[in-house]
Amino acid sequence: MRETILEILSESNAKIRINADKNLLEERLIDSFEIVNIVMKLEDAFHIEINPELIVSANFQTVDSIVKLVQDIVEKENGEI
Amino acid sequence: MINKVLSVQEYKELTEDFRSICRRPFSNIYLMSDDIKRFIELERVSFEKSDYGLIFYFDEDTFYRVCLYVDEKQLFEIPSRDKKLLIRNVYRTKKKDVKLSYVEERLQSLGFKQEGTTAQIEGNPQELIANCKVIEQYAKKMERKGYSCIIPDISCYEEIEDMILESRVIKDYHMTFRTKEEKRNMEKGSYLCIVNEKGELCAAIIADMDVDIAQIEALAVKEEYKIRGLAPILDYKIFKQLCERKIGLVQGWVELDNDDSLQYHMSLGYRFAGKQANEWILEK
Repeated sequence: MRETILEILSESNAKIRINADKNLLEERLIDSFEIVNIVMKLEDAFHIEINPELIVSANFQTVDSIVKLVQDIVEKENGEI
Repeated sequence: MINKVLSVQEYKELTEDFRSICRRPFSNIYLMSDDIKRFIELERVSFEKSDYGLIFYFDEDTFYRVCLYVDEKQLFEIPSRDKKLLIRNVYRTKKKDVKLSYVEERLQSLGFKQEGTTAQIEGNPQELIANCKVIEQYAKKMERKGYSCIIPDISCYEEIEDMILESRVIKDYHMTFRTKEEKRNMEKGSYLCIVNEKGELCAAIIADMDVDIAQIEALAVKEEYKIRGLAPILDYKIFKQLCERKIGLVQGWVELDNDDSLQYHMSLGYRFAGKQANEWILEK
């Protein structure tokens, strides 16, 4: 999952791969336009729906926080089936 | 002595008269002739005439936009007034001329403070929209979740303007002055906003749409809705309108020290238009 997410993030900004431990927002590696792209790609790749309430800076600060966000949604959606 | 400019004819005569004394005066009158005409008709232009030239005051309600028509080598005076004074010196990015340097030196000695520098950005709405295709899907997703993009009623304009000013994305002197009548006569869709399922305002954009060019005047998202992709939705909806109206150019101004805004607009596909503006303020 992490690798797929890194791939999606790198498509938005190639620098993310070598700055994966950095704060993506503070370092301006992603902006609100990139977030739109990323959200749509994550939804497609993992067949999930990311609620607007979850699209907050805390969940998009680092690669790890994005991985955790997706993991939580996948687990929740699988649990609901 | 400050006098009102009573007609466009008088305005022309004033500038022509001074040109007969000083062949190449410094001018930072970047307003389009239609805007000058509009302000004169609204009786919101006054001037001060002296040996060094003309100082025009455009009354923008909360401040005066000051335009100079002066011999820059003379020590012109601009006394403070009952409202804050804004002087905006627009120049080509790579060509700040000597006259402007003289003027800005003088402004500094008169107590003006340089508040910032803005850069003009522009884009072709069709090209911008092609770069933003994913936003259409995203807007639909957000709409399903209760975030609707609407054309607000004129009664909501004040709330929108207050929200924009509170968000501090623009300064109070960046807000274009319009009378209620003028706001009512603006093109439909010039004000767009996103409201949540409770009808609360989350984000808004103001665009002035002319026949072949549009100006994005302000775009703001409430703090608690930032990062949610609402700004791209509003930009996308404006681009869509511009394409439908066959408007080929959209422009805006971004503060040069606002890295977030610069990056965002470059991601959308805007480019620098090659003009910058230094903004000088004299408090009342």
